[in-house]
Amino acid sequence: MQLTLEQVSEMAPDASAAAAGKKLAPLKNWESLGRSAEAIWGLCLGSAKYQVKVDLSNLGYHCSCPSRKFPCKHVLGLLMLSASSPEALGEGAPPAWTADWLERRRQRAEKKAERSETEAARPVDEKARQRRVDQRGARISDGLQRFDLWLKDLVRNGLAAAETRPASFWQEQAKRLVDAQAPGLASRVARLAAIPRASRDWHARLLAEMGRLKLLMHAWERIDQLSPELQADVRQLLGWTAPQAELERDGEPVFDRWVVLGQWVDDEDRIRAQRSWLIGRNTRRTALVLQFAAPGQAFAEAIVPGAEQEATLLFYPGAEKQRARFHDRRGAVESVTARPPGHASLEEMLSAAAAALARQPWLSSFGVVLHDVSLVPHEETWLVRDHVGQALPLAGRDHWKTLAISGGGLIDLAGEWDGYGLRPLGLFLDGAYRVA
Amino acid sequence: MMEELARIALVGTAKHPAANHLGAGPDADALVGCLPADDVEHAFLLRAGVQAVLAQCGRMPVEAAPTEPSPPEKKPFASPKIASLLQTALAANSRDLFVQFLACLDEAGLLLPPELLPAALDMNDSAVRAGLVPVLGERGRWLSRFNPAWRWAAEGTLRLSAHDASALRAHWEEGSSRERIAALESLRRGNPDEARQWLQESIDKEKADERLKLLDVLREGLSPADEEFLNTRLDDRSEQVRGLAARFLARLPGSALAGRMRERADALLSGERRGLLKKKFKLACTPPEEIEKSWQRDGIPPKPPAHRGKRAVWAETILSMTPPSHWCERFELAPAKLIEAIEEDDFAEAVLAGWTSAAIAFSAIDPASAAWLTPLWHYWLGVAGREKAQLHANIQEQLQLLLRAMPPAEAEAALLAALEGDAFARRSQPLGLLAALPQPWSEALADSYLAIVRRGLKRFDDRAMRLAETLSLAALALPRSQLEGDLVFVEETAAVATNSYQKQFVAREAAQFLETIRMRKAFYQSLASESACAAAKEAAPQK
Repeated sequence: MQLTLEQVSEMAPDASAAAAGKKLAPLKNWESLGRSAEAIWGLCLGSAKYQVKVDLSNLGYHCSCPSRKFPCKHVLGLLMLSASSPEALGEGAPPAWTADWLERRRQRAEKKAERSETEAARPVDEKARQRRVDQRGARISDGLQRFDLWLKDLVRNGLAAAETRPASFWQEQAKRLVDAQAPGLASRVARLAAIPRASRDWHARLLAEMGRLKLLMHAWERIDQLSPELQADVRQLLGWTAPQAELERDGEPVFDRWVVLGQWVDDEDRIRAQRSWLIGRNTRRTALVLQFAAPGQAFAEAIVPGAEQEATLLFYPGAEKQRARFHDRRGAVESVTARPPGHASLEEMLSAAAAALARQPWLSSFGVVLHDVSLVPHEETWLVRDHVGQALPLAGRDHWKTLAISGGGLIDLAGEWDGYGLRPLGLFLDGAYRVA
Repeated sequence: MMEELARIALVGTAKHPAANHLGAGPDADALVGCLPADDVEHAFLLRAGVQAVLAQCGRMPVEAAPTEPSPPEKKPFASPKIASLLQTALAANSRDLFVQFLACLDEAGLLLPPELLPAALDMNDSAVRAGLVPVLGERGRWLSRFNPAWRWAAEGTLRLSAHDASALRAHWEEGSSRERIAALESLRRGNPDEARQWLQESIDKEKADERLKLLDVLREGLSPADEEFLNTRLDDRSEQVRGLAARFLARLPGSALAGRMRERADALLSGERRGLLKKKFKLACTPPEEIEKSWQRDGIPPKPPAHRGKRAVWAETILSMTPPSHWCERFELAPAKLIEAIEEDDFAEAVLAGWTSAAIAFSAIDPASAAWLTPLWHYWLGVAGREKAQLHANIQEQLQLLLRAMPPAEAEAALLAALEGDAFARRSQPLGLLAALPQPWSEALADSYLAIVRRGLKRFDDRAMRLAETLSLAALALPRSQLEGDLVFVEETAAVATNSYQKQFVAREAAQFLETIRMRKAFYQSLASESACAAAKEAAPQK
């Protein structure tokens, strides 16, 4: 494993943990350091001696300290030490406290795999299953019908009134949709609250999103007429996620050398949602890995922007597969040293997005890599400009760090395109990755 | 199409006549066609949905002019490793350490790494900004053009290269208050007479506090040529401006005001030999009971501030505007003897305060007056040892000002003597005095400082707390050679586990001291290896 200090800092749950980790990084705080092909470990001399270990294949970690931050400062310190002076960790066999932990992890993973296999193989009571499916379908249909009336009311009386509505106006509807077991639709409705007044053309944006929700409901009414892939998409969009066992069966495993393009965390709700975009070096496919965690808790998988690893991702079923999760991370996690595949021009990026939308019209964002672009700063809307002089707006206004690093020259930019603007997530310059 | 739908939606389909007969293209009509005709909203929303997807699919980029890229750099950027150390100093809010690092960076011929530029340009502290200017590089100046809040970076450049007269004129005529002062300062350095003329032309149009700030620019390069203009300022409406003009005039040895002040001062002080053998020389101060109107014009305040007698204030003001070397000539005695001679007088305090201000003000232009600094320092140090606590703030301030006015070596010697002495230990606040010294400290000072701290810190008493307060300053001021020295005693102090507030405070300050030392060491090491690398690259033969 070879991560940069910046990447390790990005793993920290907050700035103070990163600073505390940095303080622990000097060699004098450590004893019994070592590394093997699978893991790194060390004893950190804090207020007690803590056993710190990191599994290199997936950056899983453990520390014997009582901290409630994940990763704790000791884990961050070990990773920073290993990043800044790798020679300090000699090759060797792991001590018992590391070997045991690795073994337990392996057993747990195997047990999990076994369980999902047996679950998949277990004969299901087809009748009972069908009854449950029908019940849920009926509840969703009910909820959607009521929501449909509300939506029509809104457009009948005019969107002008929406401008002054409080957030609760939208949240009330979202809550009802959660009760109707359509949490996916609910969170899309909750996000409508942010549109009014946010931009000059907010009413067009609001109407567009309302129209797409209407299309989704329309699709739900005719779900039997759709292809199995689109059916899966519609269910997912409504929030009717397939059980893990079904995902194992229907998901598409894709092995590749996956590059983490960047991520952002949405922590407006009680649950923090992490969105990470990845791209495969060989398949050129992009994947969106979503993770959820309670505040202060760690995300289950350590996904580090600018790192790459040979792994198998399991894509959720759908007409245009985007969402995925890690299935098997075996290769070493390494820092990016060359730019990943990407679009040569903005037009190429837009036509790829259009092609994807033709297959699945509800896609709301795309992870993209743009080769050889530059930033154009502007008081109102920043632009990203490709080498033929075409430009698209950037989302947000604070891209100073990216501009400073690029110096106005050409960079390879990774970001999330939502149809209106590109949100920069990371950039590649001289082979190295930087968080944007 | 989408805009049309949005216009209808804004008003509401119920009120808009066009809502019912819309075409949305064949795709939408295929979807919408099979619906009951009376459900307008249903059809409308479906149309909007289809349009939204179509619009997104049909999104086209626009033509845009490129940004002119940053010009090539003349110096290399510092490495990511140094960037991360600088980042830590920036994040730890240790401004002084960051400023020190910036100076080292400049010395090593390196530039601030680009990713730090936005955070650096956001800094609002003048010391930090001054340190940043030489390491911003082309990239930093280029970047600052795009953000109005970062204009100071260009002002900083202006300050460094002051010869573009038209740019200065533009700043002077159209700039913000800070830009105008910066432009005037630049001009004053290169062409003092023209700077005075600019000021003369426009000063009457300014408000009082602005006049004061602008007049203060003349402090640099004060010369007899300024006398005429300064004389006109003695009639300024603002008492503060009058006072400043008078102090400037007093510093011009041949000025009329300096002459008037000397006459007033001579009338103030008289000396005689007393005792049987007429060996004991005594000075007496007799301030006037009332002052003439013309004295006020020369910056002597008619009414004293609260809690002070007017006669004492007059004496102090007059003496502060007279070079102290004058008294050595008049009474043919050394500063130390003159100080001794006034000490028992009723107005001794006012006289010594006046002499102190004068010694500080005239030390830069008159070496004979600078010779007063150390004797006065010893006088005030002695007072600090005797006096009651309530006077200390004032005395402490005098001591600090004197130290700052002394040449570095003299200041260190003065403080070194005091460090060993008893008065320092018991009464004065060491922190302020140490802060008045130039940095880095000499090795001799660092040695005695560490010796005192070594003895005092472990007692964990009040004095240890006062010493602990100085640790954060010392962490920055110790010379590089001392960083590798034996600091085990500080580590021991930092490791003390205790419930007592005093001990906790001392231990915390000790830990912070070690942290700063650690960061400085890491920074110098990275810098050294980087410069070595750069030198090796330069020395390598070209392929």
